[in-house]
Amino acid sequence: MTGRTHIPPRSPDQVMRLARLGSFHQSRLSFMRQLLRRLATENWRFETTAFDIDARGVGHAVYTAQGPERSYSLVAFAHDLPPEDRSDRVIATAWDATFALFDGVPDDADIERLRANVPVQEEGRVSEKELTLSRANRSVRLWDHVVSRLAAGEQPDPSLVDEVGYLMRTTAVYGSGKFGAADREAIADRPECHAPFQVEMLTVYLIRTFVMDLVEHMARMQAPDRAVALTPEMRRRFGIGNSTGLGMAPFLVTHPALINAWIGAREEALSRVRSISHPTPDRVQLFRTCAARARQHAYGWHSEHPIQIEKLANLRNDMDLLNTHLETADLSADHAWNALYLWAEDRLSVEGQEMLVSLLLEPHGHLVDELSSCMAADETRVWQINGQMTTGALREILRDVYGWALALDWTQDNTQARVWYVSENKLEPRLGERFEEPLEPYEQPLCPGRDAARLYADLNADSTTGEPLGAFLLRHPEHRHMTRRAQIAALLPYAEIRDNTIDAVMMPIDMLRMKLSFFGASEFDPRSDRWVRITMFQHAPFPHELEDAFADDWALPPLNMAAE
Amino acid sequence: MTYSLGEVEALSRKAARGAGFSWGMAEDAGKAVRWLCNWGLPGAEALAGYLDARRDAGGPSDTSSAIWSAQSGTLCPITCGTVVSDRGALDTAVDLHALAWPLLIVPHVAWIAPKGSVSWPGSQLCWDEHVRLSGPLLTARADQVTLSTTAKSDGTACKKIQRADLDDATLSRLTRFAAKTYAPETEASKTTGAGAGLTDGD
Repeated sequence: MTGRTHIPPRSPDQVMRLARLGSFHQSRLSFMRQLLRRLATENWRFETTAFDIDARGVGHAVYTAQGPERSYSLVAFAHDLPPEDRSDRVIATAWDATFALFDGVPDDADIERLRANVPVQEEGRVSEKELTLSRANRSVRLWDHVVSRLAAGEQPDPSLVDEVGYLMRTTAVYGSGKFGAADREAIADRPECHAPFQVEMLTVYLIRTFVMDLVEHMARMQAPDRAVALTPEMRRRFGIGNSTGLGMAPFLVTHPALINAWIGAREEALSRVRSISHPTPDRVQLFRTCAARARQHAYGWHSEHPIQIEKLANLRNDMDLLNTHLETADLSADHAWNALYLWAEDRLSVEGQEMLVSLLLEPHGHLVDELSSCMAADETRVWQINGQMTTGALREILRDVYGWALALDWTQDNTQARVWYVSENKLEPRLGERFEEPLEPYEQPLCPGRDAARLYADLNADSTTGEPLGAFLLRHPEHRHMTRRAQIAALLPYAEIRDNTIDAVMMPIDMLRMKLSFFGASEFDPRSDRWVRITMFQHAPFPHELEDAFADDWALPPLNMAAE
Repeated sequence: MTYSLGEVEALSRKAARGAGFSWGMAEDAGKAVRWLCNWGLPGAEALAGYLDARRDAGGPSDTSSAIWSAQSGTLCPITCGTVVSDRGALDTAVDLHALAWPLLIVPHVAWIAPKGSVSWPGSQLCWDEHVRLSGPLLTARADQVTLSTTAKSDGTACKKIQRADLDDATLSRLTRFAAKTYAPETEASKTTGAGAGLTDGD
């Protein structure tokens, strides 16, 4: 290859498999990084306008972030939670801390209204003045350790801090109109809210600041004369944990245009980097540093889950191979980035390949950061069914996009072993066993592969090629949902997961990981096949540190941290 | 109390599904109620009314004609709505004989016609950039409903409120239908369905 060769984006058949989506890592395009870049470049100001918390750790605090046009306030309530009530499950009814993100600056009446509603979470109501609703629980072990060390005038044990990574983990961050909060449409045209999940990420970012202030406060309350604050370096080692369960998985299926926008942006970014004809020395040097940091990150990443332990062993080996390869690889050669990517496809596990994708974007902010603006999507723009399309054209789409599903034998029990359903208790999305529990009547439409195969069979049996779809759908309203999906997937290449979401061995954590990686999460630690713990904003600068140069250079831990 | 549009859309979608519509049809019903609520119109009440009384309402028997009627006697506004919006455009006016809850068909017509009107004896809703209405909207059954692409300028102007104003009675009627989509709780489902295997505190 010479000259200006354009390497096209990877095909959806390669990318949209669960095993690959379940191996994604954070990147420059992640929503946390987009947020902090904006907060830094627009010079946002932060103020703690209330911090009224007693010696038992009960009270409230308000943190206001002031941007160029608007401000947003985290209203935090701290509680004294008996240990037996502490649970990450959505069926929990009490938490160590509860939060709402208020649109603007709340007055006393707003605080009192929120005090009556936010601590009970789903049992309460918020209003169009609120953008998110959230709660968090302590990591008791680390919390007690940090409070007692600080109260004794000492810093916490770095190895214990790194092992857990956070003092509190959020167990839900609700946005987009949930429990009465403002709809996304109400804020989507604000520049700071245009990218996905920006108010949710801002909520978590401010929660992290609050939690660190709270732990220092508790130490001071315990020993006013001896207590010390965390050093800035130690403080940044703490992220915010998050526990995410099945509730997040359906989102990927119900937002096809949005998922297409996220994956499409990432694939376009990779394509741009692979198409670079001659890497420059400064970017090569930056990449080498990032690769070394990624290796260290892989070794510092903990999980107890057998599947993730195996994936981590692969990733560590991959990062060893990559760093060894970089010792001799000529990165100044023609299309060296592309050569490196192709080398990885041959040599590395999928975890390692996807880590390399993230690393390749790292030195190329000037080429790829602008794609951040393409990551929002309005589902309604592609939602209307085109009933004028012929059934023959739909059959062609099904063969093209869902060929993998048409090739499966859907009469086998293991092919449709699972049922996605919603339980009447707390309306929690769940996954059940179709042939063991009486769940089928409650099945949610979250199995596009099976539904595509059914639609295809009925199109073959009950329509002529030239018939308009509208007429077919009047006879077959049961195919309306799948017809809509297929028409969307025909327009948007990365809209659809190209794997069986009800297979006997399907891993819901793969779906969760894909979404969480776009948030910018790290340290994925599955606790079962269907819920996962992660860390958010670990090593990120705090609000008062955003002016410093590292506002966007925190997602991989700094080198040699373990040696401190 | 006011609800977010997302909440009312999800509730309406689940209610329509709970009342027996396919998921795809229910998605249309949810979006239609959302559109109506956004304009301050009683879409949720209309859906609750329709789902409560729906017996054998059906789709049009001949959609190539300019006059639609149902073999069962009453036309279903959700089915007729999807037939209209699937066409992508309304070339000529359509008359519907015996349409249940005509308010529910309005969004489907508005989605494909930048301006137009839906009228039935004593009532009318028309739209261009704005929506204007006259007469009662919560009609359970209208003998003749006309869908047209001409927007008249008379009537009371509606304002977009970006919220859904729902009374408790409507909420509980729709919630009752929506509940039919939820699987009854069992101990097995509670412990394994959400996948809590390892300890969740530490």
